[in-house]
Amino acid sequence: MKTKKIISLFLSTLLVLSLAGCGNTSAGAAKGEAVSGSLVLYTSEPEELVSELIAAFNREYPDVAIELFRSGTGKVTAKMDAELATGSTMANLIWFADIGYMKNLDEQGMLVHYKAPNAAGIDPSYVYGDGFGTEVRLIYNVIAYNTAEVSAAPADWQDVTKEEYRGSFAIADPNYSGGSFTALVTHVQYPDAVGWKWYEDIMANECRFEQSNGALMTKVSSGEYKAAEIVDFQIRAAKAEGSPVDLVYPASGAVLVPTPLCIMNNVPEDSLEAAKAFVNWCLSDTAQEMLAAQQYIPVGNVAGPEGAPKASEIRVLPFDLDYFTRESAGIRETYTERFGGTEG
Amino acid sequence: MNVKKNKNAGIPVPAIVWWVTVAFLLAAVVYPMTVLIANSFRAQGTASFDNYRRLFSDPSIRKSLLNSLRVVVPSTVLSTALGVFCAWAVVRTNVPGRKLFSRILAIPYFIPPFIGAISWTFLLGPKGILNRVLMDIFRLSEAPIDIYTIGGMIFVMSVYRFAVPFIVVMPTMKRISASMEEAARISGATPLRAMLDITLPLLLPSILGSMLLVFLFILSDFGVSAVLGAPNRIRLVTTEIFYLINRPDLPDHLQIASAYAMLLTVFALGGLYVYRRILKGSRYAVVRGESGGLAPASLPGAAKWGLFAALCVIFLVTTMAPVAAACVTALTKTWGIPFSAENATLANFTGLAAIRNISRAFRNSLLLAFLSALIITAVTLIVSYMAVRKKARGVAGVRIMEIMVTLPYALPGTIIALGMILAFARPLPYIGISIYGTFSILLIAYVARFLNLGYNNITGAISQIDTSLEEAARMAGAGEVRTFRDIVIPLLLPSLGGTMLLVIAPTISEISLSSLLWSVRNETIGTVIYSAMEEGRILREAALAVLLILLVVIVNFAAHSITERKDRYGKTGDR
Amino acid sequence: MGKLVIDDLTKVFGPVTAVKQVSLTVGDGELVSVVGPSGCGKTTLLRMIAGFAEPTSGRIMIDGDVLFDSAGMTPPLPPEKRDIGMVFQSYAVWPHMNVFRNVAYPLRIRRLDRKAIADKVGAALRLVHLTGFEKRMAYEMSGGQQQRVALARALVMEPRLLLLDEPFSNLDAKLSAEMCGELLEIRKKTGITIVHVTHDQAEAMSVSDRVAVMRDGVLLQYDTPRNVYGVPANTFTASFIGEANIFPAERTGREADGKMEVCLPGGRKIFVPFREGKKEGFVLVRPGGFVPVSDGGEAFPVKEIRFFGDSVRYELDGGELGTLHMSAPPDAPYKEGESVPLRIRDALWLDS
Repeated sequence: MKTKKIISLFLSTLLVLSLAGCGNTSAGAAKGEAVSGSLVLYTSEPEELVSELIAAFNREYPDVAIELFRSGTGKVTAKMDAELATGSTMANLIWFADIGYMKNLDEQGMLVHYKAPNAAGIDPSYVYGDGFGTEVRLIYNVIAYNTAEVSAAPADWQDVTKEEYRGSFAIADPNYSGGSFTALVTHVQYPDAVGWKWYEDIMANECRFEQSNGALMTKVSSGEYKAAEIVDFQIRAAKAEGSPVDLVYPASGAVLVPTPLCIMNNVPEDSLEAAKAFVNWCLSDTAQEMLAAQQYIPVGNVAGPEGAPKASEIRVLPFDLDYFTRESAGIRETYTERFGGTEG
Repeated sequence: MNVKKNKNAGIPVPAIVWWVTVAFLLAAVVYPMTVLIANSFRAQGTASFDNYRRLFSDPSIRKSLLNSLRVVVPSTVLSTALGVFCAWAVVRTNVPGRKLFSRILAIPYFIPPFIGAISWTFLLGPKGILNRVLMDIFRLSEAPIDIYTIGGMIFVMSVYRFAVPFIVVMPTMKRISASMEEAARISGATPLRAMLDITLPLLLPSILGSMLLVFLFILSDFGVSAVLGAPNRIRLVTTEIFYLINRPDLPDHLQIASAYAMLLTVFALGGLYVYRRILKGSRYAVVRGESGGLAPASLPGAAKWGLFAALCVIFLVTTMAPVAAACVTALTKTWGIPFSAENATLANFTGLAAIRNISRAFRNSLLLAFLSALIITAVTLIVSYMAVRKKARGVAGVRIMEIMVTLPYALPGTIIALGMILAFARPLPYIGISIYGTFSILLIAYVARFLNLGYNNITGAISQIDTSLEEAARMAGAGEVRTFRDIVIPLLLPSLGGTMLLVIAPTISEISLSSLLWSVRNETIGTVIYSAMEEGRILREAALAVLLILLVVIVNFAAHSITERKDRYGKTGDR
Repeated sequence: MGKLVIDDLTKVFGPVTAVKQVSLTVGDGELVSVVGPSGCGKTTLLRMIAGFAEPTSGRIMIDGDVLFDSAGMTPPLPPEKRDIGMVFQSYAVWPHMNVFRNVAYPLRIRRLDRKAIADKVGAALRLVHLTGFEKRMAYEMSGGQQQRVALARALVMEPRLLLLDEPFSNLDAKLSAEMCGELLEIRKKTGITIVHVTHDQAEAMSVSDRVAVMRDGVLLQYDTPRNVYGVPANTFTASFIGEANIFPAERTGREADGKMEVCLPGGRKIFVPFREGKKEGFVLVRPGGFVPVSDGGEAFPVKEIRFFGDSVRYELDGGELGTLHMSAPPDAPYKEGESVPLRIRDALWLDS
């Protein structure tokens, strides 16, 4: 009798919750292409964004079913590694911030090389290798700062090594964040702008660490950190919501964090065209505009987010896949040796 | 439940139940654990000890282990002391509001670890409210308290986990015959002395059990160590394991991580062994059920109100402060601007409805929590019953089942999730069914991870039931099944209800397992919170957390008033 | 040492008054049993003496020391300061201590030195015949042995007063009788004052100097066992203590030689010792108050016979008098169905 009460309590909670969010059904009629198939996408991109993209894609390609798994980059690769240890992974499409992992997959012949027709108009450096992966939007590691805590906005990487930022400048821990590790490699590649020296300086300035960009953002907004090296789109989003934060693309160059979209070669024969269609579609103006609306710098030729520079206007420390492949292991070792030890 | 005995019965129900349970445990726990263990011995595709060798040669692993011990040992002791003290005050004294305290002091258990840790950074971070207040009062230029330290972790883990011993010890304390304490009083002992000389030693089994539980809780905690360890890169075992998992460039990184996790099981087994050893001499673990708690010790006014003040402070610090921090955050319009009337909004709550599949996530999490609580309670009831009552008869595998039920609890959730992937990514051998990417894999993972919660609780409860009660039913003509149904289960009902609550709290907000095992249609609240956290959507995260805490606290209170009515069974001896 | 005075003691639990204005005095070295049906307030009374329950009003003193006084300024003395020993119904032998440590506990609280503790514990264990059991744990002992441990623990500190809460109720009849005997022996040796709560009136009658009969929180009678049996205060006491035949009766008004005539049901008229009181009341006849006579008495048929060895109890069909209980020596054998002519030898008038 009393268990009934518990159950009814549960059920009523369920009911309230299910009333709270009624999904909107998409009117699916569109171009009516003859592409069909079913795919699984593993990604570290925000789930809402990817779900919206898939829904928009399905308006044009109603017969392509894309299932989604989203988690942090490290967890996605761990899941793939575990799956691969049993023989094969469920993922057909992958999209996350670990180009080293993707390059490694490519070397084992596990990625489909594909040059999307829509990629013809974009900077060729955004198509990696021989087409094993394509950037569909751009994210940069930049300097974000709390406008209430900082009197003069920093302009370049060197500025955060000043005394003002002692103990209040933070980066994502390269040991945990794939994006931050990519940034480390690129930083080291350009010793004139950043280099090891910069890491020495920020460490000497009591640099703080977080495991993810999310935590960095929360704490820059709250003023716990005056500034941080962080991805640009999140800061733009927070700024748009009114948080006291702003970002600068450093004068000597922002760091492009590669997050390509790749097709795995385990994609079923009859779904290969669907996978290619999705990659190509992500480069379409429709998709690019949706991405821009989410504060990403588009890779295509549509208007970017409000107040953001165009990709071509941003001074970057160019990402070099060959350098990355060649040097990343050594750089990790050096980093761990010099700065990476645990403390406490 | 004796397997051999039922020759003349038509259907040997006890045997069937037992073997179904065994089969389930084999599939859900033993198989993935075995795969995980086997995997930890694989390096470069062949069996080897390399991964383990690495554990002892890598200085950062050694350091993280030491860090863990520096955090886990003091916080286990502190939280146990705090929990037992609170249980004593609530059960054994006439402190005002003791009934209310007995409920609200349990709330920290229902706050998800990540949320608790983040809330504490709002309070004690460099820009935290408490630090600012202290800076104002003492005119300091720097925050006086640094929470991103070993000390900070010990503090947060203790004020946060003391609820575990509190919840576990309180019922046992209620059941200790009051005359035991009274005999000490009449012999000349003060209430405090009676507590120290009589009650505490009698509670020893229960206290040690909860201590082991809290030890494993803290050892396998990821939320607090990740949030508080990050800024100064203090790595504990769990964060080190996560680091290894995050290193796909490192060959065999998952295998090394598994090997390290296996080291944790050594601690768990060690703890279990020590616990058993200490309990060996104390066959008196069976507390007589005949007398309920009579009138609690009546303290004089000053002591009574002093104790009241102490409990209020404990409640404020451990519960109100972090919950209030989460609430304020959830009501903030713009993050980064101080909270005020202008900067307040309900939009974070109403905005939740806009998250895709949020209702499905809630539904899934509630269903998962409820089902895993149900399954765990049923399975551990059977295993505990076999372990407690039939141990002497040497039924096959009881001891192994016991270990298997305990182990997964010591492992970080991420490792269990990897074990599940390794075991179930392929369709099951022989049967050919694939549960990977379904609701079932989440359910199985949840059950495996939290089995120990039920086992601990129910074993304790069964050993407190006098066997004569069951024997009487047998004499009255009831069979084993009938006795189990008519006597054992009704007597255990309060404990079974308590176990379900104990399981529901951590499962409903589970993050580590879900973030690796979820799939479309099988989202959980944990994955939504995890995404919000990664995307830096602190306001959404706080709103979700507040909802979640509210939900679990309501379920807890509702269930409490139900079990309280049932609990009269235990008090028939009252005069 | 050991004179207990209870004065106008009342205990109210919510709507229930468990003890109503009870006053009684237990003399030094006296053994008093408090008896009554369950729920009569006897355990509450004991717990108030011990200090585990706080009286609503009244006063408790031992040897002039105030333990509790609702009118006084001093707070109630906590149990540990009262210097009282107590044996609990469940014995409450601490399961995590061996016999020696259990018994030594009150002395350790009082910070006696090792030698003194060893001596006193040895003496207490000798007193309860448990010498040699020092190292045993509670679960290694029988109920009777646990009881002795509890008794030794209560006596070891030589308290002013010993409280016994239904101490023998968990023991079998033989063991119970044996423990009763030992209790009396211990009392003889120590001269300790004892208050003993029991629902077993036979046990109370056989060991006590005085018996206190309670019902519904009220002390009905407090007197020697002989008087409680022989001159009970009312029909309740009469039937609670020992077996009783109680008949509704009316005074006829005739009085002579310190006797008065009363009329029993069926118009039977008998003489009973004169007592002041109401016109209508009851007449109590104990089973031994009926005497079989060879002639002249009214005869009643035997319904049932119970043999007790030293005596025989007969149940007779008394017609409108109801069932009559009679005891007779075993040398007067009547058979079932046989009619026995009776005379009432001893009877007592009761107002209520």
